[in-house]
Amino acid sequence: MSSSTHLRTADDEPVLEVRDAVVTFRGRRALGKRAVVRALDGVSLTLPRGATLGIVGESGSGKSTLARSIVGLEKLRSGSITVAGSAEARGRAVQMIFQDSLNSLNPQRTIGSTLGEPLIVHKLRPRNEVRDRVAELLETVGLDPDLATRRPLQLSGGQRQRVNIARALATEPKVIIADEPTSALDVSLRGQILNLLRRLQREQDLSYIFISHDLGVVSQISDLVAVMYLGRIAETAPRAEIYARPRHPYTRALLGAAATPDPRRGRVAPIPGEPPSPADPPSGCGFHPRCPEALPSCAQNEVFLEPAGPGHLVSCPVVLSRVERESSTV
Amino acid sequence: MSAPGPDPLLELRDLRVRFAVPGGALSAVNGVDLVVRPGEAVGVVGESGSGKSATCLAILGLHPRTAQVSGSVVFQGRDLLTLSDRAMRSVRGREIGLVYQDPMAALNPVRSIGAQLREPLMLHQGMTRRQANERAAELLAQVGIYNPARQLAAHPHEFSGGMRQRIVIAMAVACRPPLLLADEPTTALDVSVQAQVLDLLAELTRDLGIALVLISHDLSVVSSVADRVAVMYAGQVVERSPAISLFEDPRHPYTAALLDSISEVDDLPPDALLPTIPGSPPDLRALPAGCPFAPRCPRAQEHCVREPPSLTPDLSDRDVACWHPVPARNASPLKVAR
Repeated sequence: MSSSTHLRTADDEPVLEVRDAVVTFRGRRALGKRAVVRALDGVSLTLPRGATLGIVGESGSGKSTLARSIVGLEKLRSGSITVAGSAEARGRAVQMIFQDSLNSLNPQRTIGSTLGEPLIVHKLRPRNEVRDRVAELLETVGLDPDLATRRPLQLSGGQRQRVNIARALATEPKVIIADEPTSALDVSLRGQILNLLRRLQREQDLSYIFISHDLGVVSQISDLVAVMYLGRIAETAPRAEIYARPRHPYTRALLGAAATPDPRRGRVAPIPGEPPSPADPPSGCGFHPRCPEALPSCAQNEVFLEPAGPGHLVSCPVVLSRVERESSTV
Repeated sequence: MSAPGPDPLLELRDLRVRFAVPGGALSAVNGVDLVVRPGEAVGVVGESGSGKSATCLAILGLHPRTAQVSGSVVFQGRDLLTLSDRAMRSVRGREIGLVYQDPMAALNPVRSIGAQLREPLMLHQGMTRRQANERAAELLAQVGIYNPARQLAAHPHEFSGGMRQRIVIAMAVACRPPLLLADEPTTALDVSVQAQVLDLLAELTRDLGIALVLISHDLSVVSSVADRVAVMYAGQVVERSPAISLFEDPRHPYTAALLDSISEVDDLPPDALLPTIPGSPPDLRALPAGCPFAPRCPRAQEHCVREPPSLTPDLSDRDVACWHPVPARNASPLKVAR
């Protein structure tokens, strides 16, 4: 174990902290200039120990870039990411589960060999104990240890996703980043995987960042929710609060646009326009061209996350001034 | 469903689709009965392997040549399964439109949008190029593409995913077919764009009087558009019902379990489990003798495993294939209050 893991985290100290993270990509050359895409444009968040933070956003919102930069697959241009108080040795402490259970496993290798590799690379077990540990990992995720001799194509999608979870557990991480882990699964299997993640969280003191475009799934697993738009966090709050009292116009529009299994609700309310390209973001608040409440100033002034209630942050000056008026009249 | 109404536009009777596989046969569709009346929106819901897409392909005669198809697909009085390939080509596009999941696969990447929209109009409706061009611009305007006359020269890659799917919808309704089949039309799209496309499908089919069969794995998607819903499991329809009663009062245990597993949870205790369906769907190469859902069903009794239930009328206008359906729930005071 590295020295950092010996330090016990105080209960109120977050297990993961992202401060003002910026990730940029070089975009296509246009008019002789290379555009710079700010995929993450100053994201800050904290993950309390043992909690699940759900991150919701559409394509291009930066949610996957955020996941990749937390596990170290993207380099930050500025800002910092610390896990259990340390900016180093994230490799073992943070693991990731991807959406596509097939492409994230090597088709040539047996499940046992895939699960054994991190044990050997990180010298977590002597070689003669690797086989036993692999069997234990498979049992932990509800699979028959005999599956160790199989290859990914011989398993079902649900079984493969369990193997991916077992691989993430192999390094005994503190934080697991799950990027759309159930999106490719049928509804009846989705619940099984979510329940597995919940059980493991309790048993192994894990903290999760759970990324999804699906507001329903996020509501089923998260303690806290952050809504991303165009590389920034638009709103973050405890789960019950954000679903009951969404403040940001984008959050409200997203909840209104999401289909629900309630035919009496009638037609969904589409959000006008399309998500803008991160290569050419609107000025001011990124949501202003699609926002029903936008004022002329929204196109000019930068917006920042500010408190709108306990644990509730919103980056919309229009909403914030209304919240302020409401609270002063009470 | 059994209620009287106008003559059906499409009627599937005991539709079966089987594929030969090494060592036997895979039964993708196992006796589907379904009626679609003119102008109505029917949702077909099921998970992977439920046979929903195989049913859709068999209706259009697009199933692989290796498939054995039996039963009948009666569309406007003709059994489509008996038509020649040549006759089916004129049914597809002109009489039945198709929209599926990936708009990029439905569009030719190297031809302009205009050329692709003109094609069915010139082929099926005998329009001249000029007439077809005018109509193509109208269609683009109808599906909400700005500046349609100019966009006709653009190619598919110049549009976003949501706009591409709108263009595919415009192509599918170009000849005003009486029936549109949409197989997972919004699965590849973002939430906000999904809502736009669903809205467009609902509006367009209603305004043009086109009947819609919306196939999806997502009950929520179907709930916002369909008048009636058929739930499929292991190649069979297990429940057919008007949409509202299906969602408020599911009778088949599978429908009820599906709805439970997508319901929002309020303050679930940390050690509580989310409602889920145990086990996995049956192997279509070796279907059980009895009810295919019995091994996963909380209400199953001994004879469910032996004898298959057939789809029988239950309450008014509903059919359920189950020996022990979930008891009907009368409107509770709670529901009324909502």
